[in-house]
Amino acid sequence: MTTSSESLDLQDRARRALEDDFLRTAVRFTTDRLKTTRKTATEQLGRWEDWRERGRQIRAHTVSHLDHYLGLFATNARKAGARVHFAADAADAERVVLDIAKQQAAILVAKSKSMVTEEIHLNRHLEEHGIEVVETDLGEYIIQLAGEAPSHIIIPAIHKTREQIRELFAADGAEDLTTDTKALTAYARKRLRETFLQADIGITGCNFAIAESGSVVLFTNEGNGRMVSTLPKTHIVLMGMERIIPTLADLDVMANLLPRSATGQKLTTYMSIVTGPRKLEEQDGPDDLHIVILDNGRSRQLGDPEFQEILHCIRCGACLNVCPVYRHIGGHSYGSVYPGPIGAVLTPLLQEGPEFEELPYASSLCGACHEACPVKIPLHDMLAALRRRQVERGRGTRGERMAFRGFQMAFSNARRYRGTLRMARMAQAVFGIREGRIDAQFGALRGWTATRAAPALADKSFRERYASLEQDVAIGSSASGTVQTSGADGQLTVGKTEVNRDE
Amino acid sequence: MRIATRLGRKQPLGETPRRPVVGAAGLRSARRIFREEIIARFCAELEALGGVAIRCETTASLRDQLSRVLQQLSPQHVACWEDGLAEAFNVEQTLSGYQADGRKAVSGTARKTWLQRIAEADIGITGCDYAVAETGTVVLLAGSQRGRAVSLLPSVHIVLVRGGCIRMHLGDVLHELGHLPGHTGTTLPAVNFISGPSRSSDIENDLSIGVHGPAALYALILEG
Repeated sequence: MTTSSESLDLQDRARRALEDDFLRTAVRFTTDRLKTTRKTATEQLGRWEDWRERGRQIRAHTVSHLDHYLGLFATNARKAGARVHFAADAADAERVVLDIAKQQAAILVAKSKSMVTEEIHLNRHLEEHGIEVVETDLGEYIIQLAGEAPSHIIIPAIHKTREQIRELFAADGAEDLTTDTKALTAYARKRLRETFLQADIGITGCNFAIAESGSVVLFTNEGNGRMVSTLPKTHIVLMGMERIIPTLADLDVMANLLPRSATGQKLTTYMSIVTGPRKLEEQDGPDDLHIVILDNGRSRQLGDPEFQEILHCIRCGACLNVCPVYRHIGGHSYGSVYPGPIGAVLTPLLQEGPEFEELPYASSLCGACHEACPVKIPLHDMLAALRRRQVERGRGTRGERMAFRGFQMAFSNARRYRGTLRMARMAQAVFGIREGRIDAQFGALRGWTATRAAPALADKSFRERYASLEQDVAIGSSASGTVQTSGADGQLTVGKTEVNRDE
Repeated sequence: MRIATRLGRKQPLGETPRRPVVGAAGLRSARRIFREEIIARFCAELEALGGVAIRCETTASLRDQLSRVLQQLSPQHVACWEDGLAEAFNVEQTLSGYQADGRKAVSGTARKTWLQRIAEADIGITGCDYAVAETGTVVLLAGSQRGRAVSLLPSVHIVLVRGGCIRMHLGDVLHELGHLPGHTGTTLPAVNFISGPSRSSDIENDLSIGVHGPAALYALILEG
């Protein structure tokens, strides 16, 4: 699940992204736009919190009964005439798709945007077997020409300038192209039109799969999703096993949550419900419909009290747009197919191992992702839980473990705490205090103080001043008869009452 | 099986589990909505999406409006659903001047040719089975002589809408789709919900219309 910048580690990728002014401005601008439109769209619906809660209930109900609903979906999809394949992992899914392609003697595949196919690196695999794969979503087409991975779930080419796009199109064969959006779009339309009509196979993802009818639901804006699911003779759907919702009625809730959260639209331009292949009497639509249901680490989360909810995700990207970390470094810095808060949780869960261990640390745990999530996934809790799990498995240095053990000792006992404070006050002189702040650029604290200054400890702590404060208050209140208090908390008031009683 | 085990069951659950609420029940106000409000809302929402909504009180005025639109666009080829749509809206004569080669259905083996012809049409004319006022959406069910590509490949899509088929909410349409006469869930025809012209913001957030699907959508609404 790595992308092109895999040779660098997370910190280096982030640093590089931060130095890229266009990227930072573009990501900030796009995420701001999506944030604002989402806010408007959710307000327009009314009772947004109730809709969110209903969305959460539907996802929770489905995922906790996934055995039933997945079986029901497969049965009904087959009844509708689709071929259903289960794939345990990426290799399995690739094999299934390749077999279908070989049966059809396919040489050209047209694809619409699908994160699952990115997850299993399907394009690379098909191309290795001599099958040309063309991404037809405008953004995906751009990054395919650039040989890159998407940097946003919804807007994959967020990081490309129009000049870069013009150059990519020129290298692709476009002549006399300006950087005008219309001209660029028109080129892509013309160029891809041929692909749609010539392709032997169309591959799409799946936003929702309806158990009661065996239908696949696709949300798109450009129309390419409709093209690839309508024009080629064979349509292959790749879906994560958790995409299921029980009924058409539940689609009502999801169709209100997904577009509003993703792009701030009330509904995407196209929402297609596909049930089985073309009916006999129809002039178009695919002759064969294959549905590949992918596990790839998902079932491992089932029954896990801390992480089962990650399967509730409907892939809207709202958590990316509000994440202060994503907004600074963009999607590629994560180095994983799924970026942002959802990626930082999902990636290490789907793919265990050292490669993505750092990802849960690419977060400030501020909880904005949870607030934005249309199905209320507690992403920030999961990030913390992932960190804890890693530490339990032995991540972290000996020094860090000792430091935290020391912290625990000092802060769990009042006397030890006082002693620690006294010692720390003596020690902090070494770290260099300027204007009441520690900004040491060396030693164990450098990781912290390089980017932020820590406030220095006061000469006298509140606890130490408390005794004399109490006296001050006593004097003040007996003089005026009122409580003096701006800084006074509950305890001081108690002190004051006692003083009064003494009188 | 593995899934059931992970969820703490010996074998997959046979019966569909009960739950207190299904879908969006109770989330919308149950106030009574009048036809006029629904049509007005549909038009406003569609226009906000960059579509064109034209209200017609009679079939005669719909015919006039259609020929006006066609004159304006002066297409070379027009593709149209052949499921009796033109007859139902009484626009056969209006369309007769714009015969597209590919209007007549062709058999499955010649599908590529048929698609190619639809792709060459400048305008695709379809009916619709439902519309959603709240989102400015038209809802098209696929079927015999109701090619899916007619609303997709031509640069302009004209859709003829009966006022009576517009519903306020998406949920109303989904409910009816679940109870289509003559269909069980798994025989549901392909359904396309279309809200305005095709769009993309993939190039520097700049909205562009008509990326792959139609660049213009006209809805002619017959109120009578």
